[in-house]
Amino acid sequence: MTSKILLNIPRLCLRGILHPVINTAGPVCSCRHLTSDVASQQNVIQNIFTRKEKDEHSKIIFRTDVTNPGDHEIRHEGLLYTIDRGIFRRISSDDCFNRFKIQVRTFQEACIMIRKPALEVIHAMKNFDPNLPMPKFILYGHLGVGKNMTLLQTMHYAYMNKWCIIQTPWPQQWIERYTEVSKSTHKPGRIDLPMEARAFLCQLKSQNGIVLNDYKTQYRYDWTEREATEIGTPLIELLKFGLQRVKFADDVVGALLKEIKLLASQRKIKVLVVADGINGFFGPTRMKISDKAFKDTEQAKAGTGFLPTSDLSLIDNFKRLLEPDMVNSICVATVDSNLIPKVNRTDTITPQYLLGREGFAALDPFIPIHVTNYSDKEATSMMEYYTDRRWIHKESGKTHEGRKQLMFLSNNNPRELFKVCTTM
Amino acid sequence: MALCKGKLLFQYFLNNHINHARFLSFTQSNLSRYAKDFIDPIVEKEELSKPLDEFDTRRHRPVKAARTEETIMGDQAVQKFINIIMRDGKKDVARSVIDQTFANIKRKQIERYHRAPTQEEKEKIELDPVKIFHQAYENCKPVLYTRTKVHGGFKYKVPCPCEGNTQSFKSMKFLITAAEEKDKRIRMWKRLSLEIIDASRNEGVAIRKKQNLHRECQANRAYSHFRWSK
Repeated sequence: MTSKILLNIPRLCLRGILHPVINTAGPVCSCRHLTSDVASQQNVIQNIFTRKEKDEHSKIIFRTDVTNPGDHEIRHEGLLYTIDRGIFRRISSDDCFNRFKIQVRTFQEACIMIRKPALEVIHAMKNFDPNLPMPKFILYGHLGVGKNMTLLQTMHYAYMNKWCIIQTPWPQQWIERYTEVSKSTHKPGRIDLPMEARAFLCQLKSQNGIVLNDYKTQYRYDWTEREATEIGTPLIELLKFGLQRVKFADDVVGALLKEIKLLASQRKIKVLVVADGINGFFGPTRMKISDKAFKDTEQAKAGTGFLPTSDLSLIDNFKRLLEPDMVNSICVATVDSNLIPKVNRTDTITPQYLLGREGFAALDPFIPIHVTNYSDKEATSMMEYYTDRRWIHKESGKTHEGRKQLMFLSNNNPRELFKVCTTM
Repeated sequence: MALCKGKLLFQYFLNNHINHARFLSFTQSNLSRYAKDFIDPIVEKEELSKPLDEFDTRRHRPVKAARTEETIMGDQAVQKFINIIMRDGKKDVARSVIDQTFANIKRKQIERYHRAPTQEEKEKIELDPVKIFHQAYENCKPVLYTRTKVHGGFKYKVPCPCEGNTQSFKSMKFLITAAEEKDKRIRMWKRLSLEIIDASRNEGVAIRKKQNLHRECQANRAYSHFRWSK
């Protein structure tokens, strides 16, 4: 028995993004409720949960031994795999995956579920055409449905294969919660956020230290009359300069992204652009121009209103990555209804609505991926994991009847399921 | 044609459902909001699924609403704790605070469980937050407390035994005030959960408060005979 691994190959092939390669690796079996097939899958099984009760689901496999995300196939769907904690610490910087980090601390392991959307993106990352402009995947879905975790899985794949990862923080960090504001040194009329730029540089350093060590600059940058970065200095030194001179941090970000873009176009590195809540980077910011911080800037002449996002140099630099001349790279982003002001918020979750006219125009040829709630199989394997980790420790939570009730209460929403299980 | 007063009332009772007559008793029999003929609710799911007899009382008698602790939380002390922590009648907020404290206690304990190297140490750790709360609540119960009494123009703090509702109220109040006095920048559920875990091991500010009260009673033991005087 062989199978087509990808879920919608024709859709991707039509757009010319994928080579029409069909991966036919290995036999496929219905993955979880097998009691007879256990011996044939010994590499898959790490832990078989056994109980004394006479129940239908007495043996459920919920983990895989395959920790490399490149080796995952559709038969692993719904199983959990562990990320090495050292790698996880490097991937997740200061202010992202916060909810998951708490879970990692309690369970003492970083364990995530293999799900269809992530498999789809990783398959595209394996065989895409480097000569075409980069494919953009946009994940959408209701709150707490697992968009962030799919991002994490793709980032894990990228890290293991030595891609360059560029990840933006949650956009409110740049749009709303600024600490310091200054005029741009590079271009008049722009506004710098030095502390945020510094945090971004730290993140770049931790996520792809190997890539930055290997390659060198191909342009010359003059910062002041005395200070300059020559051609042929390693990229890591350029980054360290940005960390030392916070005044130029925004410009260093721009320079680094420019160098990375050039390297990608020379086919030296592959780039993964990750943005959580990409719709926050379009439209107006939440910074009031009448605020004290903007007293001396050019925007103050306009008087009232909110600052447009294009005036922030960080966001402007980031948007250049989305232009069509970016090749040999992939963009994975989410759209989030949390970023819309509460007054205007509706139940609509489609990317076209959330991005707005400006955002839709900037990202236009993109591939939307709908992230849904758990299926029943996924929910049961997740609850099995929770019982293994003692998150569910009451006897009533382990029975078939109790699980049915938990699934009903949470509507199979991953975040709600975790919350509901706290009382169990 | 207008009816006389007695006939009107009689007509009213006939037309309406007969249950209305129940609310028209003029003497207050008890403080319950329900009248006497309301029967207790059935909470167990198995009992509910059974078919009813033809002459079962549940067919024609009204039923009381089920209490919260009977259905969801399953604990009377926790419900009392929620009511004590409540401010300005915002029960929803109080309930969410308690839910988050219990979640945080559980998180802390499970972290400790997975960090423990051997199986023996793991088995010693209690994971159920409600049980930990009960342990803390029992540990904080004072045996003595003071009442003020005026005697000969002076106020005396008279020690007397603490039992029943007073004792349980005081122990819960110790936990809450101890948590409230901590650093305000940290969330209440975080402070409270740390306090409860400490109190379950006979440590922390709440336990110290209880000991201080005992010490005060010990110091004022000379006044204890005022308890019997006028």
